[in-house]
Amino acid sequence: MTSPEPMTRQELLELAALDALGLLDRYEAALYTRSFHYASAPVQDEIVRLQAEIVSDESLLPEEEPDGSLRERVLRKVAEAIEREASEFAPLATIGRRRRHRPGESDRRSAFGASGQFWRAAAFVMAGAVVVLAYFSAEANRSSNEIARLALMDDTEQLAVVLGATGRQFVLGDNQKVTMHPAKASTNVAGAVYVNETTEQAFVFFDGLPRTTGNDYTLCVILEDGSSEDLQTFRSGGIFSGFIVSNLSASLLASITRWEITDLAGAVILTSA
Amino acid sequence: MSQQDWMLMHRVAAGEEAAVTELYDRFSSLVFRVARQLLPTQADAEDAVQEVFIRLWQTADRYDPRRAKLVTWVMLIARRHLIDRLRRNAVRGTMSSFEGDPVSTSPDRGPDRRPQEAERNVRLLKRIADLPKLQRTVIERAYLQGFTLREVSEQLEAPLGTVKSALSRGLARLRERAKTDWAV
Repeated sequence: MTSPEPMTRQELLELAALDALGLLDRYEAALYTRSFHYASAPVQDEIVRLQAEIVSDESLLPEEEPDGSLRERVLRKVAEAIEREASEFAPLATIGRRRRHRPGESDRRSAFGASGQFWRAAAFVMAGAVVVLAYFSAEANRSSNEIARLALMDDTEQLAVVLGATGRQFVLGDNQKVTMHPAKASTNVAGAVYVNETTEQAFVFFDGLPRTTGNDYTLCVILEDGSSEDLQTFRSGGIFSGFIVSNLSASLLASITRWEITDLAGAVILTSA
Repeated sequence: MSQQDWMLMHRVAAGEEAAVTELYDRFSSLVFRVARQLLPTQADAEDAVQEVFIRLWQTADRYDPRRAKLVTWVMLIARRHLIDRLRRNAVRGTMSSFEGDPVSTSPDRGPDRRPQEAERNVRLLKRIADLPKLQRTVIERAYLQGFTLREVSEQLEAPLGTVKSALSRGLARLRERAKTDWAV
């Protein structure tokens, strides 16, 4: 697979407004970001400055200010979201060591759900541990290709045996399964998504994605209206692996027509189409 | 500032109340105004602002100050969310004619809402009206109505590159025009 040439300075400047305003499609936005990183430091500075100028330009916006009461409502909603996430992951995170209270640390943090990030991190660590265990378990029992084969063959019971507790919950639970196939028949990759509509989470696993050092892959969904939404970027260790995606609203899940995993250049590697 | 902004988003990601409050105080006006521009009612805009700030908390740990200033990141997250919301809620009509009325062809943003929108966006719409036709149409559909550039390209039966270029030039022209207006 060849990647398109990075954009020139002229192209980067021409598309700076469209990128900043979210008007580029997923592929172009990925190409723009990639090209940005290839650009020289002065060009990067120029783009960063220009984009900030564009989005801050009040002449493009209506002359209205938010109602004063909105502030309190927004802050309350965010606090509730943080608390909700903290309570969802609390049972998992209680396994770990208690977080030490640093002297001078504001007590107001706890009132706002200061533990949100902690629980989130703990949950991801646990999920990661589950995946690592799943891998070693898989290695002990059969090759990762065999797992991918099982995923593709709908053999959920066998698959559950080689997954950890988290993965098993998704595989054996009353969840919708979506199998992803290679976009190019010649590539030896496979993947699947288990969607739990109740918890608004999905468990994604994949096998055969080439190893990367950065979050070069993107899990995205194509919606009914043809638009796409990026759900999560991730890296691959080159082995069978997986992760949990949270905050999948009911309206989003209802409008998904297919799931895809793309690379840094936006090329589709796995698709449920 | 970028280091401070990175720290701010780090604190937002950690769920720190003071940080979320600071983020709101700095950007709520811009976020609300872009929501008001894209959504039909005040209530829709206020709901959307709440969702945007939740989204900002959820994505805070992905903010990279080397890639964009914080205001760019905030507005990008906001606009993407608003456009997604528009697309999900809207049952759009089919626009096939370049000559058609671009505003009235979208049922959720139909003619009955035009006076309010016009009132809110009066200066902007006046400047848009003075643009060359292609730039005007592309800005109305992509920038104000949330259609993708590919959709606009299909609607107008114009090459994607032409649409992109028209939008880019149109936005630049609007900004130049605004500067001139303020200077007078």
